[in-house]
Amino acid sequence: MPLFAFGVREDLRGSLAGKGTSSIAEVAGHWQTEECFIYSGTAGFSCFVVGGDSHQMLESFVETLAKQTRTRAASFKKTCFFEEGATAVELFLRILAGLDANLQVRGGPETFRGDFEAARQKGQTGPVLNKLYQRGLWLTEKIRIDLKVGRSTANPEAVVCDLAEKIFGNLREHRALIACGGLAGEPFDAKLTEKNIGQILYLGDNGGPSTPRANERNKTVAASQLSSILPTVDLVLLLDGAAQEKLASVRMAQVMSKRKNAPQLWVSLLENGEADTIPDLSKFYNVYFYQKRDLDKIVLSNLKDHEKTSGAIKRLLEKEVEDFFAWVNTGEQHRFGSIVGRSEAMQKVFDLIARISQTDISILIDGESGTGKELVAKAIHDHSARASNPFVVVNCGAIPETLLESELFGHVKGAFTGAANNKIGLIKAANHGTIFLDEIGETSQATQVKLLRFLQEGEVKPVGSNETERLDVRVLTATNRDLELMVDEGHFRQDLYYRLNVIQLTLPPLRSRKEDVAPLTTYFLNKYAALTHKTVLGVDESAQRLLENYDWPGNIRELENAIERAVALSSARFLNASDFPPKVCATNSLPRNDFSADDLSLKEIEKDYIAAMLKKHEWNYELVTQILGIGRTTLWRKMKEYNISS
Amino acid sequence: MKVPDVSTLLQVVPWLVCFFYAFSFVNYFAYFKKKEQQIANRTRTWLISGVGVHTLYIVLLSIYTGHLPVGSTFLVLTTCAWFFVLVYLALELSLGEMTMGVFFLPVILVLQVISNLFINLERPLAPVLNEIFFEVHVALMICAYSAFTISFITSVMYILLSREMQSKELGIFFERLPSLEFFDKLSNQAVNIGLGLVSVGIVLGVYMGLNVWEGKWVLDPKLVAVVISWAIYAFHVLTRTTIGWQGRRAAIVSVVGFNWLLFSFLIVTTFFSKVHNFQ
Repeated sequence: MPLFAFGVREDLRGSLAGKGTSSIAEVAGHWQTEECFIYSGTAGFSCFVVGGDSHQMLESFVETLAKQTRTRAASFKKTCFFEEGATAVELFLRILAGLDANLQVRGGPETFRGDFEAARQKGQTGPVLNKLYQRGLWLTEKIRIDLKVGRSTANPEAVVCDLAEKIFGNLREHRALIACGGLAGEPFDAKLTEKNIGQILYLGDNGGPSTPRANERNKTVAASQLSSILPTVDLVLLLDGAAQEKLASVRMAQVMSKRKNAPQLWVSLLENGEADTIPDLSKFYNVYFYQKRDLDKIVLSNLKDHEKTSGAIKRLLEKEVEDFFAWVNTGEQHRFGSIVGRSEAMQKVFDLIARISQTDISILIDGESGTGKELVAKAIHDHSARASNPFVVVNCGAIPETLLESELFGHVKGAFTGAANNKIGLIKAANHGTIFLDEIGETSQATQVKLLRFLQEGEVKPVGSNETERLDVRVLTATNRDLELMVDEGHFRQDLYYRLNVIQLTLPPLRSRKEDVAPLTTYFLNKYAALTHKTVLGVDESAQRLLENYDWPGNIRELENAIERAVALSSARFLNASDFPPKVCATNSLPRNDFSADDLSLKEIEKDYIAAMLKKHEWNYELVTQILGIGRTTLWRKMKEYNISS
Repeated sequence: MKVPDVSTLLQVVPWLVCFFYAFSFVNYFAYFKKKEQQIANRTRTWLISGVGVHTLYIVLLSIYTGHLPVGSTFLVLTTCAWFFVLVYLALELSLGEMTMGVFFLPVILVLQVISNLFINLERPLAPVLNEIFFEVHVALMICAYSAFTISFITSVMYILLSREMQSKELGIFFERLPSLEFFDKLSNQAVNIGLGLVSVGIVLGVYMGLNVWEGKWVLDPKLVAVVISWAIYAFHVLTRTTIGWQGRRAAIVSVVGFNWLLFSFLIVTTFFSKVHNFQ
């Protein structure tokens, strides 16, 4: 699979903005590519392309832009770059993660994500770039969380704050004076305000305001007041030459004696020429005087510290590139973990998993029965730092309510009749890992209270025990019921709902993403063909159409069952329509039953149908779940709900 | 199993104390260099164990000698170290600041080693020392000296950090130590408290001296030495509050004061074998 990246280095960006982007987009429409993503932003103008004739594309790219900027194509080409393979992949990941060429975190260009998602929606990108994008999202979070980067001290305002805090401790009781003409004070003002400084004074020209930020906390002082103001401020920032003459008339010895020699920090950002006129303040006792060159030196050495992390980033990046090519070579193009899907809706789900898996946020996965909620939970676990620790699945609907509490939290010997020994709860079994609570809507109020306590305090108390224990477990939950409705009806605690539902991840039903049927079919086909040692190459065209037109009320589970059945029954190399269950085939025909007799609600039909099926197949649950395309638990719940029993 | 008697334990336990403090110091040093939470937890375990063993030692000494271990110079030294480490631990826990340990532990360790080397438990106690006033007097002095030691160490740290900042070559002190203001405050408070305690201690001592020594006390070298230290610290408070000797100058005065304390202590105990040593 050939992957290229080409584009323009950032120095030319200014002349290309606007029209250049749109004309390239137009030209790109004619390129014979499998996938293409064009990004223009602060990090340059780059095209990422999968497949096609790269040289021809580069030529047309250069030609178009050269025309746009009115330069000769040959000289324009010199400013372009061309990368392929691993370097192209690395470039993509680097831009996405906001890393510069030296692997320093520079704050990601946020437009990259938006641009990419827009291109994906238009269908310009495909499995390869989508996968790369998801890996990149994951990597970005990994770098942020593992290496704790993000707080940069490599700028003058951060250094000034560090210095001030080293001298004065907390800045709340201290005042700063900023002397500057224009907007140069803005970043310092912002940083000092962030540090809760007591007050910021501005030295105004002739008493007039020199700053847009004069409010009741920060005020402007006139130059004539300088000698009375100076002894009361602890930090003086000289940002430009404007205040020089005013300062020349101030007698430092007097200022310091008025301050009783309390320490004072002076920072001057004047250029070398201007700075000559300033007296050397560092000879005064307890005055810390930093000039521009001193600050520059500190900024530079802070930058060097950052470089230490770039080694770690480099290793992560290299591993990611390697993993990406390993994935490309397996040919599993529409997969994320063990989830299959190429539809836009599923790509969004994959993006979200990539971004949130490494945090400890609670996630509520909802979706119809059979949409693969457990697979999503497993994928989140596998992509987190907890991957090597246990992943425990609890189906709250399958455990009787009375037992659920002791299953989750454990119990001590003698807690209730039959509790002959201490039992470790499932939450504890998942310590340092993840617990996945499926069908959370089926839990009793008492269990909900205990769960809430665990989520809030991180503590569990086994049944019958007086001692609580602190555990580190990430909680993922899933439901196929409308929890919000249950909250409104009072069946589900509202506080618990908000706790669980920090992020809601909704799995779309299969009928709303028909384009996923084909890759899913291939996936299950290969799986069951291998299991049954049959050579099944695919599904014939008419059968494929049937599968795509069917509604799949049981979603992916139903599809899987249908294909398992078809593979088992089939004797040909291609599955045909007759191998599939009759109701799949019957989709296109008219409804089988005549409903004209009475007006029934869907629930009533469902109830009657389940009862009829159970009776027909002599209460063989296994068979009935297969026919209905629903899980055993769902069947069991529905039987309870509709009061169906043998 | 035969329980070892107190005198055998007294041979072993003091060195065990040193051992724990030495290990704490190594860990504090590692923490200062790397600043990792893992090391911090380990370090605190070592220090708290050390304090535990030291407390046991103080209890054993009290049992053995029959009163608080303040009867001789080197007994006072270990009690001083013990009290001092308690104060330090309280400081560390309340401020959540562990980088100072690397400066405090050596002082504690030196005090303990000197005490271990020269301690003599067999010497009979002068009868005058059985008075309650005497124990209060010594306790006050120990507290005062602990305060002065804290002031000394924080002053040293102040000077180191301040020098680094004046030179504009920011290094490990800038990176690891808390702010100048923090050291300044701590040092000044310690001097204020120490000065108060030592004043009361001297008055008490003079009062007892009047009763016991009947006039000979005026020329006692220990008294002279302590009055000079008092003067130095009083100077510290005075210059700081009136003529603005804040920050580095105050720190230097505190360092001078502490050096005088150490120097006079060594001189007096080695060269003047006078009544104040009760020998």
